[in-house]
Amino acid sequence: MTRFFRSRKLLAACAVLLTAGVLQFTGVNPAASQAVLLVAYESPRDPGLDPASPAWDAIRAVEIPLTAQRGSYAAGGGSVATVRLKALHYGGRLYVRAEWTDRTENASALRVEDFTDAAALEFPSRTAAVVPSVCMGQPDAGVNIWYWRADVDAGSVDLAAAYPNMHVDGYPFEDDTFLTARGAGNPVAADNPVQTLTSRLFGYLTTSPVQDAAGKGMRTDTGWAVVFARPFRSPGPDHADFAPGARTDLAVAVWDGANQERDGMKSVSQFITLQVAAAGLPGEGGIDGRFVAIAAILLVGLSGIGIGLALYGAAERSRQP
Amino acid sequence: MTAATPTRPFLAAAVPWLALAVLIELLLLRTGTRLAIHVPAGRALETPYLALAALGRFAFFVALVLAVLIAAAAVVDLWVRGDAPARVAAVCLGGFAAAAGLLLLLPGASPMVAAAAAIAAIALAAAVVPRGGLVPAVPFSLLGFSLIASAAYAATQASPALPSGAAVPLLDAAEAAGLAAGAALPLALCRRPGFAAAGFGAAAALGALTVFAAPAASGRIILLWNGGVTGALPPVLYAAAAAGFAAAAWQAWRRGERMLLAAFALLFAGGLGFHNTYQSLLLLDAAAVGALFIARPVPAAAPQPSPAALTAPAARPHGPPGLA
Repeated sequence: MTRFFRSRKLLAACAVLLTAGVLQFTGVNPAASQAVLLVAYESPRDPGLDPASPAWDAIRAVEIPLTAQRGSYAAGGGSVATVRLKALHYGGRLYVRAEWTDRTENASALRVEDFTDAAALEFPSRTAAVVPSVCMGQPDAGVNIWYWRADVDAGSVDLAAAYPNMHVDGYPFEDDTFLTARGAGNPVAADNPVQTLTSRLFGYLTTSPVQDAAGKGMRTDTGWAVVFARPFRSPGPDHADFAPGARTDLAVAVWDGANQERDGMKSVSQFITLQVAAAGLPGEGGIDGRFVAIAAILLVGLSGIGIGLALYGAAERSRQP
Repeated sequence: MTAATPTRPFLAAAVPWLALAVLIELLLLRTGTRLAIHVPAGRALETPYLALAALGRFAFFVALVLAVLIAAAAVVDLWVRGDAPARVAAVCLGGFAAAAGLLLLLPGASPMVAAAAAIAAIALAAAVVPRGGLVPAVPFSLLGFSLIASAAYAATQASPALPSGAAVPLLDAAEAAGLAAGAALPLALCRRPGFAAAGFGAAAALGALTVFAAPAASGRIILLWNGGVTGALPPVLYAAAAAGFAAAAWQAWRRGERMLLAAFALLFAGGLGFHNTYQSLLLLDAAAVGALFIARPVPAAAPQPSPAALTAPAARPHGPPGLA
């Protein structure tokens, strides 16, 4: 009998290990992500790059908590508590709108003591076999980052505004031979306020040879609203790809220039799930709203039942001899 | 105290193995690979890194399979136990499993799964009471409250019918309740922590304070990623939670309560908030182990007179026969 029981235990252990091995080999993961879901519905009209476009009024924002980066030098940030995200797609382009509270506008980094407001979205690259490290990816799972800067978005700034007492004899040259940063391909000197970056490891962040993400920011009553956009498919190496019906991960970072935030000093989120929906926008008060409201009512009601059961259990126990 | 059920031997054998697999997964996959990327070795360590990741991923799948089997066995065990709280907990745990399966097909059902997890946690905490009393149920109830706040946050993110401005307070409430559950964990053992357990807890609290005081420690972001601990609350709360965990684990180890020790490991690995259905299931498995294996110690009763003695003549002399 003991031998029989032992052999059954051995068989059960082998079955567990074999099942785990099959799941790993086939890449089937029965566990599903419970992270906050950002759904990019298909928009009936082109939202464009304008953060104030009425196309954004039809959808509700998802509010993502941010925390100070403490994972690496330079550590800091944490001055922005949350970021509100919306997403749409139209004509094979993905649009993501990020909005956050920032009382001070820092749209110039002309002086060495100035730091610009900025924001970035991070996606796993198309070759990522697993969810990458949120800290700039890992060898088997790179990341693709879209990095918006307020100073580049604001365009060229009159130097005299930053240094009112400066004196210039004259500088008539406007071609790239003399605008050396632009001539060397420095992305900060380019006209596009959104840089496309890739990384496969902490410390390996680099500018992508294909710069196809676009964006535009605007000041709101409370802070910034920025729209990022890019076609679903990108020829860039290690870029993310999107498709209707597909899911991917998305993380956000925000820099507050007034807090001297730059580099690793930023407010960061964890990965959330981005679902590019194959369907159009749901109607107002659609099934999702009712579904979740019922869930909330059930939650409160059943919690009450749980407490009631606990009291019942305690009373039963006290009656036991 | 614990009635024999068909699934009890399986639970007793499988839960410690689940805890071991989970700890290996936590160490290799969630922590090791995320720390290893910071080693500036370039391609030289790529092969060992990938091997580490593959081993950690295998431990993850082993833990996942065991967690599902243990949840199924716990449902049977709770139902067979027969009292109302246990049966309701069995139904709620089964409900979570069904909802988690549904999430694979409907990613928009995430708030429903979060609600199902919160309900199951509360029901399992209630199921601790009939055998263990109210005090050991406190940490599991606090865990349930943490999951309720997280579920409410998930619901507010998904429904236009619910207020959206409550995100930050709900997340803070979830973290605070989760930390309180950790701090209260020694209550699950039904006895006061001893001197050694208190000392171990104090050392853990000091370690936690060090991690949170360090300006650029990887530990903080690892905590965020692995356990959903944001660090937004005062560091003393995290120190208290670490102390509670360490003291409870020490005490369970010293007293040979391996099922509760395994449950504490599952709680530690499950973390706060909702990451994925695997981590939620670890939390619920831990609560189920608490509901099934926590039993208040019965005080030693005075010897009862035998029926023969009760019917014996009053004049019969007391004491052993040899002394009469």
